[in-house]
Amino acid sequence: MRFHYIIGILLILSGCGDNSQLDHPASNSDNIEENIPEELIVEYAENFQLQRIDQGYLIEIINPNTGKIEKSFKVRNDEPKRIISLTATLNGMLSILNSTELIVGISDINYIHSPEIRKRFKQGKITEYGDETTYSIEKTISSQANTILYSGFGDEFPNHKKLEKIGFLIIPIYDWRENDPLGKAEWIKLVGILTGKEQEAIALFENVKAQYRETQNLVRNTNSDPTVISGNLIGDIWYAPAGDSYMAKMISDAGGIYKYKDIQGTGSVERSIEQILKDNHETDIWINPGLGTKRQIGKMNPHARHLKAYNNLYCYSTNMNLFWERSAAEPHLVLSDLIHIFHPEIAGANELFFYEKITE
Amino acid sequence: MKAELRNKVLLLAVVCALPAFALLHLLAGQVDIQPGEFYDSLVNFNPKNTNHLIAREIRIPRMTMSIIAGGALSIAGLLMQNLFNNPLAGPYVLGINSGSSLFVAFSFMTGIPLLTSDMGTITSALIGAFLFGLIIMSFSYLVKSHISLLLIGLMLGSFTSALVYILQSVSTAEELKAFTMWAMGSLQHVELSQLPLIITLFVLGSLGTLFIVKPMNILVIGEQNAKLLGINIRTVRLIIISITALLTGLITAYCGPIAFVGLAIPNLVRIIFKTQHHGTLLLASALIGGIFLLSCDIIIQVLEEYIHIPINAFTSLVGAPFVVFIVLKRLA
Amino acid sequence: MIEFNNAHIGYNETIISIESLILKKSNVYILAGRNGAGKSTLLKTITKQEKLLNGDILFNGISISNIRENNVAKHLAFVQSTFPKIDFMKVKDFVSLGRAPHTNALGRLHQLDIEKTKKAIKALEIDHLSEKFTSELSDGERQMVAIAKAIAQETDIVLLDEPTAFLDYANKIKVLNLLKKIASEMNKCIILSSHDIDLSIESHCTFIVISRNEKKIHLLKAPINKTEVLKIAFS
Repeated sequence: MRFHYIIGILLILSGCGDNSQLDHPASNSDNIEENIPEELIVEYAENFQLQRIDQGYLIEIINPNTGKIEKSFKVRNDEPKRIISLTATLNGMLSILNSTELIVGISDINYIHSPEIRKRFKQGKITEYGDETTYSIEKTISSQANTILYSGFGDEFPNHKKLEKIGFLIIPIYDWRENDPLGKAEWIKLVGILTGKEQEAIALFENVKAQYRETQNLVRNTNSDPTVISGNLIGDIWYAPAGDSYMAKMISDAGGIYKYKDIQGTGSVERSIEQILKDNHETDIWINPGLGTKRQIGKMNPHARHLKAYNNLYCYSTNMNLFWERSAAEPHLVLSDLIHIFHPEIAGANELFFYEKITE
Repeated sequence: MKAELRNKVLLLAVVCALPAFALLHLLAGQVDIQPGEFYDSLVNFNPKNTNHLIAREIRIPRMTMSIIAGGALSIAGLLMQNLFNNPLAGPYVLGINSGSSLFVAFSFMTGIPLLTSDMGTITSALIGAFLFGLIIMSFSYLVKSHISLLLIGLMLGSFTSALVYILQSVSTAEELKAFTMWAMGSLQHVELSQLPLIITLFVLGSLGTLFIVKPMNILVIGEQNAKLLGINIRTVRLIIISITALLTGLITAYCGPIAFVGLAIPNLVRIIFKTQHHGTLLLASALIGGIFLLSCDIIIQVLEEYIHIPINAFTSLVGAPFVVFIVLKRLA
Repeated sequence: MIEFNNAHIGYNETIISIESLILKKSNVYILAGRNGAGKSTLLKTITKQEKLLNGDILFNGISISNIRENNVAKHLAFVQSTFPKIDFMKVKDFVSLGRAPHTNALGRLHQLDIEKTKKAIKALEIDHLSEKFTSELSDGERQMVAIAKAIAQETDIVLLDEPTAFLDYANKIKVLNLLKKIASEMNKCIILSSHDIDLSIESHCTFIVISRNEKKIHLLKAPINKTEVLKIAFS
C-alpha cells in the first residue's frame, strides 16, 4: 500500500509539472503582505520557524538547547541552490522531493541509500566531504556549492565565518532533536522552500500526517499491549530513550508499553545492566539494539541473553542507510513497522519497511 | 624480629579483609539484594527470580573478576618491576597487551569469520597475548641485557598501536565504536560460565611464581650480580615473561586494558611491608590488588546513580597521583 | 687457589697474557695498573663475564671451561665497586643473599645459613647495622655490607673490583685490614683491584702489576718499591 501512496505523490508532482515554471504567490502579485499558505505554518516542529517575506521566506533555526534563534536567513525564489548536504535525513527529503540534482556534496557515499544520489555520485556530479571533523575548507571553496546543510550540534560549523563571507549559506539542521515524529517530518517544509517546491512539500506533509493518524488509529482499541525495551549496552551503560523522546512517543503511539516512559527528558536514560535486567527481565519486545546480529550484540553485551526479549529482537540496522534517509520524513512507516511488531494480530499493519527481526 | 611479625600480622589482616570487601562489593549494586539471596542464587537457582539472576549472572562474576584482575595485574606488575629492576614498570611494558589489542581490533574490524564468532573477542585477545609473549620470549633469549628487552617491548607496543590506529581509520563507525568500548576496559563483561577457566588460569599463573621466588629475591641486586650468585638468568627471564604473558593476556582478554593497577600496587605493597622478600610481596600484591580493584568498583557502583565512572578512569584518577608520588620519593 | 696457564685476557685482542701464575689462599693480592690496562677485564674473565681468549684458568684444579656460568658462584664471590640501589633491603637480608648458591630452590635459610650470615657480618664488624636498610647507610658501610655478602657465600676465592674507590681514607685502610684478616683467618684467596698505589703499598699485600705495553703481569711481593710499581705500570 505504501507503494501506491508513493506513486500517488509522484502523480501529484508530475501533475504539478515543472515547479520552476509554477507561479509562486510572491512573483504573482505585488501584495507584499500576502499570507503564507496556511499549510506552511509550522505546527509540530519546534526547532524552526517560517515567515513570508518579499520574494521569498524568512527561516529561523532554533537551537534546542538554548531555545534561542541560532540562525536566521532568507530564501528567495530566484536563487538556485547548490547544496552540500551532510545530513542523511535531509538527503532523504531532497530525494522525496525529487531535487537531488541540487546536491553537489555529501559526507560519505557509504552512508547514502538514495539511488538518484548514488547515480549522480558515480557520474562525478557529487563530491564527498567527510563529516564536520574532517571537513576541508579548501575543497568547499573550490566547489560549486552555495549552501551547506549539517546536523546542528550546538557549536558553529568549522570556519563558518570565512565561508559565509564568500557567500555560503550554512544551515544547522535540528530535525534530529525533534521529539514529535510529525515535528521531524515537518522539516520537509524547509526543504520545500530551499528547493522551491513548497507546494509538494505541503502536500507530502499533509499526507504523512493523515497516514500517521490513520495508522495510529489501528491500535486504539487493542486489548493487551506488549512491554517494550529500546536501546543497548554501550560499554557499561545501557542507553534507552527518555519519556519525552521521539522513540518513546513512537512506542506509545504504536500501542506498546515502555518502562521508562515516565522518566522526563528528551534524551537518553542511562541504566546499569543490573537495573535493565531488574526492570525488563520479562519485557516482551526489544527494539533498536543498534547492531544487526545477535553475535555482535553478544559481544557488546554478554548478559543480553538473559532478557526474555532477546528472542524477540528487532532492529533497523540491516539497512541503516534506508532508515536514516526515509524514517524522518515518513514516520508513519516507522509507526506501521512498530505496530506490526507489537500487534501482529492487527490486519491493517503491513510487512516491515525498515525493521527486521534479528535471529542470529 | 619485630618487622617479620608485623608483616605476618599485616598479611593476616589483608587475608581477612579480602572476603569482607568481596561481600561489600556484592551488596554495592543499585538493585537491592540480600546476602542470603546470593547463596540461594547459586544453590537453589530460580530462573524466574530476577534477584537470583542478577546475583548469579552479574554480581558474582563482576566481583570475582575484580579480585582476579586486581591480583593478576599486580603480580604481573611486580614481576616486571623485578625483571627490569625498575619500580615504574607495569604489566604492559613488554607490549603483550598490545598484541591482545591488535588481535581484538582484527576481530572487530576486518570481519574475518573465525575471529568474529561468539568467542571472537576473548579468543583473539588470548591468541594475541600468546603470540606476542612468544615474540618477546625469543628476544629475551637473544639479548644480553634486560634494558634491550625493555626497549624491544616498548617498540613492539608502539608499532602495534600504530597498526591498530590504521585499522581504526578504515573501519565503519559501528566497528570503531565497538572497539573503542572494548578498549575502555570493563569488569562487567564476564559470564558465570567463564569463571572456571579464568580462575584456573589465574591460579596456574600465580602458583607458577613459586618457582621464581628465590631468583626474584636475588634479582633486586642486578642481573650481573644475580648471575654471579648462581641464578640462570635466561631461564628466569623466560619464566617471568611467560607468567606475565599468561596473567596479562588473561585479564586483557576478559576485561580489556586496565590501567595503573599493575604499576601502583606492587609499589604500595613495598612501601607498606618494607621488605624485599618476594614471597611476601607476591602474596600481598595479589591480595591488595584484589582489594584495590574491589574498592574502586564499589565506589563506582555507589556513585552510579549520580555519575558513571568507567573503571579505567577511576584507576587512573587514583593511580596517577600515586605514581607521581613514587617518582618524587625516588628522586628525593 | 687460582692457577693461570698461558691465559690470554682481552675482548677481541689479547691485552694481557699470563704465562704462568699461581694465586694462593690466605693471601690478599692487589691488582694494579694504568687505566685501560685490563684490571676489570681480568677480573671479569675470571668470573666468566668475559671470555678467556686462550689458555686456561683453574680453580682448585678445575678448568674454567668445565664450570658453567651459573656455577661460578660455588668457586668465587665477586664484589662490585658500586652498591646496588635498593629500597627496603635490610643489611642482614642482603648479606644472606650470599647464601643463595647453598640454599634450595625456594631459597629457604636453614640454621647453618643464618649462622654463616651472622659470622660474615661479624667479620666485617657491622653487627650494629644488621637491622638497618642498606639505603640508610653511608658509602663505607655499604661497602662493608657488600663484602660481608661475599664472605657469607663461603667461597675460597673472593674478587673485588675497586672496593676502596669511593671511600674516605680511614675506611680505605679499614677495608684493607679487614680483608687481610679474613684472608688469613678464613683461608681465602682475595684479589682486589685498586687505583690507590700508596695505600696499597702500605698494606703490605702482594701486587699483581699489569704492564700495558708488555701486555704482561708482574708479581711483586712486599715490601714493595713504589718506583718499581710505577715503572712497570707506566713504562
